[in-house]
Amino acid sequence: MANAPFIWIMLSAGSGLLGAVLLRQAWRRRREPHRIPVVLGWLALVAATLAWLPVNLPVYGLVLGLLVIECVALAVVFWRSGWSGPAPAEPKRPAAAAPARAWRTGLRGFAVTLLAGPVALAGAVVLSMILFALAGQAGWNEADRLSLFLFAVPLVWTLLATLAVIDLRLRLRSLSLVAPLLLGGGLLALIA
Amino acid sequence: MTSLPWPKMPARFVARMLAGHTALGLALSALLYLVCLSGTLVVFHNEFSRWEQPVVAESGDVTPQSLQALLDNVLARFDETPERVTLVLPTEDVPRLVAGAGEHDYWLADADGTLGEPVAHEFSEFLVTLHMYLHLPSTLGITLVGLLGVMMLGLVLSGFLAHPRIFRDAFQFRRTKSARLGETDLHNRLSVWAAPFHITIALTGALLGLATIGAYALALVFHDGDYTEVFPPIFGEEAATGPAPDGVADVATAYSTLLAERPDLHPWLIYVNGPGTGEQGIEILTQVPGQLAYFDEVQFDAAGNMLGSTGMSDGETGQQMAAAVYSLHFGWFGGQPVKFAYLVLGLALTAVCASGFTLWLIKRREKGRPSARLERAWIAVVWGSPAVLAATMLGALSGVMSEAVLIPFHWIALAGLVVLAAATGSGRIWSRALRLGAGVLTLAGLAVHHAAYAGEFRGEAAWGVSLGLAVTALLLIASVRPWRFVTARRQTSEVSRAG
Repeated sequence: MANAPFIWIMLSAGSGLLGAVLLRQAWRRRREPHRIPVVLGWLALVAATLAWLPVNLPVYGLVLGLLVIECVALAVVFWRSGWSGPAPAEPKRPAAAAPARAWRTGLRGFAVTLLAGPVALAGAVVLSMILFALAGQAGWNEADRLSLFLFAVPLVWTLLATLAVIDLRLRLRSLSLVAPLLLGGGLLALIA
Repeated sequence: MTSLPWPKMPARFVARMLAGHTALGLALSALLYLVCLSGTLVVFHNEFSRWEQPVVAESGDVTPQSLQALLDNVLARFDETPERVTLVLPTEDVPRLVAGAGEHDYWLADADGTLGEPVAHEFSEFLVTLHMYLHLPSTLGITLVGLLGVMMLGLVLSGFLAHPRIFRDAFQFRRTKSARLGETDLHNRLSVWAAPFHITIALTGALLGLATIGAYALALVFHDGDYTEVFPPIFGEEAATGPAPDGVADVATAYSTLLAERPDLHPWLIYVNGPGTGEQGIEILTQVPGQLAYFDEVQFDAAGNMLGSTGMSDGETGQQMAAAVYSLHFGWFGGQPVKFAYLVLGLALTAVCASGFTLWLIKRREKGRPSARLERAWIAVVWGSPAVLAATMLGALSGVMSEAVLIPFHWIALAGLVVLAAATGSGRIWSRALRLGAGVLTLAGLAVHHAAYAGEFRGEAAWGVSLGLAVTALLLIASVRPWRFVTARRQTSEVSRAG
């Protein structure tokens, strides 16, 4: 049927809009029981995404479906609230005392930058190379394991960088970043 | 009260995550903002490049014979035969025939293969190099942009972990109650609803940026330092080649063969390697309609016989994943509707970057540690960036600035604005002045463009970009509410007259 893709796209857009509206209604009535609209809303969003599957290849359809949902949902969020411009600034409170030992804060900042930047990057590359080597030993073809490596580097770096900046003791953070780097380097030297 | 499925997290963990989220965001906010803003514009790179040369005849028609003639005409333009000649075929996005070699020597061509005026779209190229390299040397620049992608991915991750109620409050938008609540809601709502887009853009951007140094590391450990051995499993190797029967590679036969043998692929770029030498080869890069793959590649020998394809669109899973990265990052896979969706979501991402830093400034002020200089400097980054981009566009279009001047002008002007704003004035005045400046400069650029080309536009892209820029300029000017100044002035003069 020539119109089939068009029908699926319309169904997806309708379902996406319905999902966003239902979730908004649930949120507006959040002080009352609202399990049903929440569940129905999320189901409608899932259906809106899946409706793209028959339109074309699965991945392509999913991506297009997600794009539609995101745009529809943003429209629903801002439609009722409008854009009234920035609110007036709050009156200033009395100035708080400046934190003591600024130089120490600066040094900590520098150490955290080193951890989240070069150390986490090196760790990400080493751990991704271990994945690359293990995938080769598991019989993956070259293209697949190279792709795994390329995706793994930013993902692992993200995890390590996040670990580096969260509010834990600096020693603990350093240890949890440097240890995998050293261990991974050693392991890599063995398997590469 | 029902809560949405999101794990309950200890308050201490949430506080730690929030601290991490803030630290990551503050570290590179200005660069992240610039990359997001320029990336949103780069989605329309093809349209901008057509707009910059709007009087070129556009056509989708080429014949095998005209391509062969085009190759001969390009080779005749060079004193020394280039190592590779590139023929860019008309596509739906850019219905123009272009040919040339190297980095800068390219010409537009007629459908019969006759070379015309040189390709000249300085501003579009300026935007692309800003987004991809921040105008730095290539490896350094793309790695820094990759780092920004990682930071963005980290911000998404830590942001969700730091805000356990982010889904429950998915529609909360208190724009008028207080500056902090409004900014928080703007930041969180855009972050929630556009999260799949943010993750996609950050991950693909980080991957594109870090692929080079990752490949160097792989080469060092697994390929005895030979970098050229890393990527062929995905992108294929250059085909074995030989001399052409008639001296120059038979592009016409290769093109005809591709159309006959692979009707599923749309030819896009033709590379002729080693033209005229004993080691010639032809690679035809194609678009793959209805798929996420940015391209596939079919290889031919110098006589135009098909050797095979690399399988980017139908080969190994890893190849198909790698081929999709570029399309997903730039929104170049579903025509104009997808580009407009990327425009909306890209602006949302840019707003998230801006509001994140603004939130931190507001919280600082509320804690009694206001930083007026930093607040003004941030306003100069947020609104100065579009103003300086508009000034750069005006300089490029009017011919006042040569290509070599655009980049230094952009960075010096932006840095100057930030320093000036930090030193003097009020935040409100800077914000208004820069928005007004961005709007007026954009309109001035449009005026220059229309003065040069009015009445000679060919192709809808020229009209589309002009319309888009005009609407943007008017919105920027309207956001200042200039009619308030007029009313205020009238009231002041009436009061003074009455007095």
